[in-house]
Amino acid sequence: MLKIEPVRSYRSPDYPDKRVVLENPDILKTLPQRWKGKVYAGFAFSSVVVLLLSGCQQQATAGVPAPPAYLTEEEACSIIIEEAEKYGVEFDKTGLELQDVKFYIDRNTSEASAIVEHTQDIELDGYDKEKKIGFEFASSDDVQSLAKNIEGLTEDEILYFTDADYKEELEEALGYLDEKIYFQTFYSASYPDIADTKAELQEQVESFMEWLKSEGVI
Amino acid sequence: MHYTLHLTNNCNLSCKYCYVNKETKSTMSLDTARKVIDTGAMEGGSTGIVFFGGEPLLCKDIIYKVVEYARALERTKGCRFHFKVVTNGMLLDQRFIDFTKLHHIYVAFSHDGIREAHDQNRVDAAGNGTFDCLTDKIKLLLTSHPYAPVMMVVNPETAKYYAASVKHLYDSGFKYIITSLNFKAGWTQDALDVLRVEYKKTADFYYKRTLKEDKFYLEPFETKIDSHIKGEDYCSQRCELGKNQVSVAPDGSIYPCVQFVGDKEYLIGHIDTGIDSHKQAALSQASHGEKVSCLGCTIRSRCNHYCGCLNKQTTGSINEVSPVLCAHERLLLPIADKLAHKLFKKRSAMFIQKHYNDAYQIISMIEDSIEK
Repeated sequence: MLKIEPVRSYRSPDYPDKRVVLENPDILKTLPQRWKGKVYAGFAFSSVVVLLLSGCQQQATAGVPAPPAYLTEEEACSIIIEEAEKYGVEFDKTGLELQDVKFYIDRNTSEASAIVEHTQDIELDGYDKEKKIGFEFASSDDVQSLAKNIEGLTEDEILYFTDADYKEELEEALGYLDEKIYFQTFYSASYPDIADTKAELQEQVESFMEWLKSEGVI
Repeated sequence: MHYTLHLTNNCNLSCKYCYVNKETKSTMSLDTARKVIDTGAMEGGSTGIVFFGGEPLLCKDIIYKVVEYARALERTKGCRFHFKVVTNGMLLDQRFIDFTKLHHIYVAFSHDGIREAHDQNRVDAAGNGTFDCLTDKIKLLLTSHPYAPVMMVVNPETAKYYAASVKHLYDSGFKYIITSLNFKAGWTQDALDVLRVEYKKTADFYYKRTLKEDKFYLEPFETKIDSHIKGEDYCSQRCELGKNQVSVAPDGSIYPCVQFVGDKEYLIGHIDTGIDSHKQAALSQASHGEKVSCLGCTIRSRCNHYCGCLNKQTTGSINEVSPVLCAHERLLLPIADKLAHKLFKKRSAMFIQKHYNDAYQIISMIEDSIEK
């Protein structure tokens, strides 16, 4: 029996709203290939953008980039737990076991009908039982483990299954759970300086906590 | 103001989900239709006229005469009219297409996709599917109107064909595809789960076509994505029941929208006497009230629960939201958001221009005219 079910929480989407584009009109410089070099492409830029077009071309940076500095899963989880504590969220490392979580995976093939259904148990890396807040850190092992378990993915698809894909798929799958929990997947960025990588993760946690605050959860 | 003219409740098809009351056959007289045009001319500015049914092409002569009458008034009174006709396509012919081309009439075509889906519901009086009859009609239409919209209705038993049907319509040449649920049908959680998978397949299709920089419009994805991108602007653009558009029944009675035609409780006027502004305002206000069942819902600003016409169709009350609508919004929104997120993350030029650039439609039209 279908019922009216108000959605208690829904994370603001990760693509920007129009205000962000108005503040960063360079985004509108992204033109379809066939518009390039055409007179009408000029209309793509609003009057605000036209002013900005006159000077600011980005300079390419020369030199060899340093190798990226990743965090281990243990390091990352410690940072997440520590940051969350500042907001009164007590993540228990024993996590939460979720059984038969359903995934609907989009495959990147040329077929329109490329959706694979997959069911898997998931154990979250941390869970605050009282507040029903959980998190998962998308380590490379987690990402590859999920990809390898999905029946029918090719070797290339497994190889190119990224932490961003893992985050998207897991957050969507947990959205279908009967018992609603507040949940976020974190990932390690890859800055040359490990301090920047840590700072980026702290920002991810801070952003999640601020969102929980805005929703009145904490 | 937009006026939807219910030219007739008669139809040459017997679609199984049709909601039009056909107990007593009635057809709008030319005199009544002209009065609507006169009203629009008196109001001034730009007036939208939608020829609706039943099947409006059963009344082609009225359409020809009404459009020519309106064009004559435009020349003498300085008013403007734009026209649209919503048809099942069976009676499209070269003369009518030429007329619509000449007068810039927007032709919206009803079709439910692949044969297995279309022929389940869109049948003639003898119960035969109409898929085959429409193949040539689609070619005829799209040759003159390449951006003609197609409207596809999804039922629980056809949900499994959704992605294939969208692809079929796209491959047939339609670039403006509007799909909507028959909310009144007996949707179950199982059927919605099937639809969820189909929406995901279609999101994948949307994703790939957009990365290839194809130009198209596909509902319900566009509106859901815009509901986030436009934010408060999206809310302010919502339909206000009976305020900016009304339906005129064959006898000249005026109702707030298509689902209300014939329901005297919602009668707000007559083309001879005008619209009762008090009734109209009360209805508009009532439909805009916060729905009790939706209080506390965090996605309600992006949801279609405010549509009084849809609520009336499904629950019988303009303020009572259908559980099917609620379940559908909950399944659709994450899929649309994920699609948009992926396209933005890829910095898809077509996605960015289509959804963030107010000038996109103008640029697109210029591009089309230059390419021609």
